[in-house]
Amino acid sequence: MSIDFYWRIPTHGCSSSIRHRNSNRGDWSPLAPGNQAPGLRNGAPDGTSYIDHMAEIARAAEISGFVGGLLPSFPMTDDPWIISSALARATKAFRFMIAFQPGFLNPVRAARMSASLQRATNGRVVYNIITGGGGPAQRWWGDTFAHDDRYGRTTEFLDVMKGVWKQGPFTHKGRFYEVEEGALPPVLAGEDVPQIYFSGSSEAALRSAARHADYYLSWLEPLDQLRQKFAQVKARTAELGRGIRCAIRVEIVARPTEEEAWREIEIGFAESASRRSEFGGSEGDSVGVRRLSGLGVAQAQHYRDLIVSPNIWGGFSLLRPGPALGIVGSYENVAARLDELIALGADAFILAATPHLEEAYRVGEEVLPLLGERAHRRQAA
Amino acid sequence: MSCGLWPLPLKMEKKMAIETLWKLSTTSGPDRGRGEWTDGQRPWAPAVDARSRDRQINHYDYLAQIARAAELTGFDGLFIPDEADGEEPWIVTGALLRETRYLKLVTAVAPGSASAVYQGKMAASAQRFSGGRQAWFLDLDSDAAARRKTGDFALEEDLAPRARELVTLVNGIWGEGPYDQDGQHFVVEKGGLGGLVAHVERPELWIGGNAPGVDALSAEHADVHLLDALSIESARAEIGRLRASTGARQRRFGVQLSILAREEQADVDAELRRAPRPTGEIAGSYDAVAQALAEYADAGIDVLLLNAPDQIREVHIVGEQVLPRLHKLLSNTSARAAA
Repeated sequence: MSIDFYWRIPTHGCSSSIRHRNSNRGDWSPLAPGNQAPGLRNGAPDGTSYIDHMAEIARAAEISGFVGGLLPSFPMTDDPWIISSALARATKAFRFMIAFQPGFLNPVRAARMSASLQRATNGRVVYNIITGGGGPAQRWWGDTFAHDDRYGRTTEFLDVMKGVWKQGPFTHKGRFYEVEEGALPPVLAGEDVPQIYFSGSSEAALRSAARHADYYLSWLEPLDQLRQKFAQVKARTAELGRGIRCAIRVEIVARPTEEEAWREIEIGFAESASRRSEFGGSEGDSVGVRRLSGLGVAQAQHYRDLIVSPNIWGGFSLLRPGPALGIVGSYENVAARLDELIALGADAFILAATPHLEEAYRVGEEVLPLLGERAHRRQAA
Repeated sequence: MSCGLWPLPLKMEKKMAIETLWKLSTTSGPDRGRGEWTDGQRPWAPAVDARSRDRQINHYDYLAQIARAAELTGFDGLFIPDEADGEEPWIVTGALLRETRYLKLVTAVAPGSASAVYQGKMAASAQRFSGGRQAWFLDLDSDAAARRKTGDFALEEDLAPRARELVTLVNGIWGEGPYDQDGQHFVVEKGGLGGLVAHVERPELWIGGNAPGVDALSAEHADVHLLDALSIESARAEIGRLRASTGARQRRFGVQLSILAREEQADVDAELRRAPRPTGEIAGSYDAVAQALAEYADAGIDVLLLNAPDQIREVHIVGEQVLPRLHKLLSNTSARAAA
């Protein structure tokens, strides 16, 4: 079994340092000392924009040996479909892992968009299917369905999308979707349906994943919890008739020495003082988010209070939006932790580090080569 | 996350003279499947190794070349239609954003294809990445069977009201918000695209089609009302009717035309003998075609959407030979009017 390493494209600006929580790269902050704000030259628009910086990150990732990158989708991010199509011709090998919530697109349209993008990229599209965290964010998107309904909708969406793509003319009348004699034109229908990375921790999510997913994607969680979860996912999906692989999404801070790595965290933690009290709970209905809210971020006095196990730190939410746990350490130790994750069941990774452009090189050149034999079997094959 | 706001003058300069766009065909058939052949299909082309060619060259290389040709030959924009046998228009739009610098990219948007917020979100990114060159075409075509194939079961009488909800919602979220809308077709609660759209305007809106209520919707919201291929006299009558029945709000009128222009009428005749041509095509010498287009302008047309198969060749013929003649005719007309 080979291990795929993906990088991440920051779709809402990037920061030049994990120490400071800002989006100083991109057009999200005014032009000022320390900021990169593409689009203006001598005060006038110059035709560049944040897409040009995202292009640089995607190219850095493919140059450094990553197979592609995740394009996250949240209310204030740029849209992954538009980013991917805009970067299709700027990259050669980079796979676009498009995060999307099935409820927002008609499945027939999604099939057409995906097949067209497969053609534009020569088959480099991957899905990260998200079923949504619920709460106000879900209603911002204009989505009012309840948690388990959304997973039912995701399953039906993928049934229809694949049906129209590969079994057209396809007719379906379901609870959420309806189509009559839908099909893709022959040149599009010949493209492959993208691999599916699937997120969601509940039983409803697992039932949906077992039917459609290629990879079950989890945030980093405490290792015992993760081992148990992966075993459960693999067992439950096998029971449901279709075994799937597991993938982990994890942010890392890797430096030549442990001291240098933890110094980044120490400074970032000190800067986060005013924000810590906000980390009490979650307004959404995501089971994954609830799993991580017990880490005691709001009560932490020192960054060391949030070290969950060697090289695993639980305060990343303080440094940037996103999951709490990440890996911090020397190149050797970060590589050792990734090896452990492979040993406990990970078949693929989505890695990220700030700033995403320069760190793609660092992680690709300093950390990944130190991984054990299992991670590198792919290159040998 | 906070989004800094500072003034950035990205508004496109509105060109009030006649606007000319190439109507892109994204189906590969009429243009010989250019970019789509693979190793071994053309014996004279050396194969490097299996599948090497189709990994490096594809149909989008050809589409990008048409777009660049339109830009280099002086077109104002590219119209990206939603063809049943073609590529998906948002993906084509995205792929051409960074291949062009000045062209307006008019994307055909099907109101039933996504939630209104998602459609607004895609437009926001396309606007941001293109420096405000994106525009929407809402095609309210009443062909119900074609719609059901796309998973859209909206009734004919709902097409215009749904499009109105879509436009209203996208207008509403195009800013800081919080914006609420609880409609029949689209909803949003505390919406707002915020910093994503702080420096870009909502896309220009084109509306066309034959569903009931389209005329009123267009009168209310369209920047451009797009007519199907029509004779000059029908175009004049249709524009007169629309202006009279729907009030005085300023909007422009566009028409889609297939054209065949050659140096001399004898060259046109040779083409007409060679292969069947699109119905309603305007065929003639460079001068004759330019004259016909000028008459459309005289009939009240502000926007010309032009198309012909074999696109690279025809973009250059129209851009180099017809458009300069057209602009000259129109400037003579306006000079005479001023005198």
